Amino acid sequence: MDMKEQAEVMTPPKMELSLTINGANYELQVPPTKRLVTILREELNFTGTKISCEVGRCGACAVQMNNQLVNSCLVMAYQANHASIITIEGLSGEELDPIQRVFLEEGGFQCGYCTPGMMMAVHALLATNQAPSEEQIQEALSGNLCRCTGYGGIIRAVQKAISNNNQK
Amino acid sequence: MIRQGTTSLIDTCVWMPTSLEEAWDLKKKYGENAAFIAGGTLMQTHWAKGLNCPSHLISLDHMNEMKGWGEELVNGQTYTRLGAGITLDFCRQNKNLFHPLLVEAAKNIAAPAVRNRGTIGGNIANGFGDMIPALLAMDAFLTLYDGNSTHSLPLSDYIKTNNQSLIISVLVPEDQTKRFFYKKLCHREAFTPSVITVAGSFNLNEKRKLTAVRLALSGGSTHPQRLYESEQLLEGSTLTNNHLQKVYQVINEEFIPSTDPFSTATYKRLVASNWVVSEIARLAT
Ligand SMILES: Cc1cc2nc3c(=O)[nH]c(=O)nc-3n(C[C@H](O)[C@H](O)[C@H](O)COP(=O)(O)OP(=O)(O)OC[C@H]3O[C@@H](n4cnc5c(N)ncnc54)[C@H](O)[C@@H]3O)c2cc1C
Ligand code: FES
Ligand code: FES
Repeated sequence: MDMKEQAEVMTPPKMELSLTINGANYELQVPPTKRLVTILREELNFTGTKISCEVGRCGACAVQMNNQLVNSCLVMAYQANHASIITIEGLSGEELDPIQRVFLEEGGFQCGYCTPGMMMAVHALLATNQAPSEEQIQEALSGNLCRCTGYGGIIRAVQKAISNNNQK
Repeated sequence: MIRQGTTSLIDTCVWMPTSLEEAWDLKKKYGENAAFIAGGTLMQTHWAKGLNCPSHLISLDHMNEMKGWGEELVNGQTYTRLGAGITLDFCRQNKNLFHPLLVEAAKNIAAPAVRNRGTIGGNIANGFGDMIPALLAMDAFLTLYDGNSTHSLPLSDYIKTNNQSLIISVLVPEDQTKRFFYKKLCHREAFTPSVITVAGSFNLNEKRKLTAVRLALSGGSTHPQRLYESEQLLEGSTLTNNHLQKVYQVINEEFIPSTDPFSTATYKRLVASNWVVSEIARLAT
């Protein structure tokens, strides 16, 4: 039995990758195992998504894929095929996203390297839970490491985003 | 190292079979040069550590049999069926669908972004996943495909052999009456691999005797184990301080953890014995 006639195969060096990023469609030819973070940063210039540990441990590369938070360093091209991706560049429109504003107001960052991933994690949390408890906030951000802030400003920023939401 | 690993991935072929037979035949055809892949969250960390990525990856993403969940009646007992492809976060978020012990175990694994990709099947098949002790404590069964047939096997038997079958689903008895505990010791509080993971469950009858006792342990480098002798000692017993001391000793003798660069086997045995005894005492009083 010739497998190639049976299962769909993504052969190296290239597959046709079709995905939506921040609402716009992209078609690319990439190796099926190329990581999403590399595609975003090096092929498409979405450099807001950062890269650090490269193995899912720091959250710097976090984006949303089909409305779920993922580490783009742990997603391979074939896994992102036909997916809808939101990166940090997709959060703001004409104005800053409310989450970006509270991070500015509350000192939620210093060097800013962890910030795009952190904001994507906060966005994913508030999209499913408008009034998370402190424990739920910590849990939602547990995969995002920050070397600068000591997390105090970040937690304050999230709490402000929640209270702003409640006042609406 | 990581860059090198990535470069080696450039030549990897990814297959997307849609049936168990097709997936199995591909594995047979490419042998050692092929591996099944689900979320890939664990495999990618292996490649980053320098392990070679096989030249053929057989994705389980399109395997309908591994999707979804439901109820199943087997020999008069109702089970919750979890497809092997269910993600850890789906399990964590659905308290209404899944047993609280499973939800608790899923909550203790990695962080949301990893849990959104990592699957239950991958957690069990890798042999060291933190879901395993919880599932052992619940007498879970696996539905497996071995190239010839689909059959079920208790997880407690699956962990004893190097079983290479495809995991299709996990069957967990729907038993809400059992008391249970789940604890994971780590080097820091959250988002870190396990030093040891302990899970247990039992019923307390009207005479306050323990029945259907299950104790299971594992850890980052410690193979999952059921503590059959300790379970036996607790089975049918009423708890007294003397009896708990005896149980403590037997756990200490029966549990065989590994020593790793951070923690000795002696330390792990000590923690395990303390945890099991104190959790049982807490839940039985
Ligand atoms: C940052 C980070 C933190 C982590 N923390 C934890 C943790 O705290 N606890 C923990 O347990 N794990 C942890 N993991 C490991 C991993 O995420 C989980 O074990 C996850 O459940 C693996 O699932 P997967 O679908 O990604 O498996 P994969 O990586 O796709 O596969 C793992 C293994 O299982 C095999 N396999 C997968 N599915 C099947 C199937 N259906 N049938 C047969 N074989 C199959 C594969 O061939 C491979 O050998 C962590 C990983 C990362 C990156
Ligand atoms: S770079 Fe992806 S999680 Fe660290
Ligand atoms: S602000 Fe510098 S790492 Fe978080």
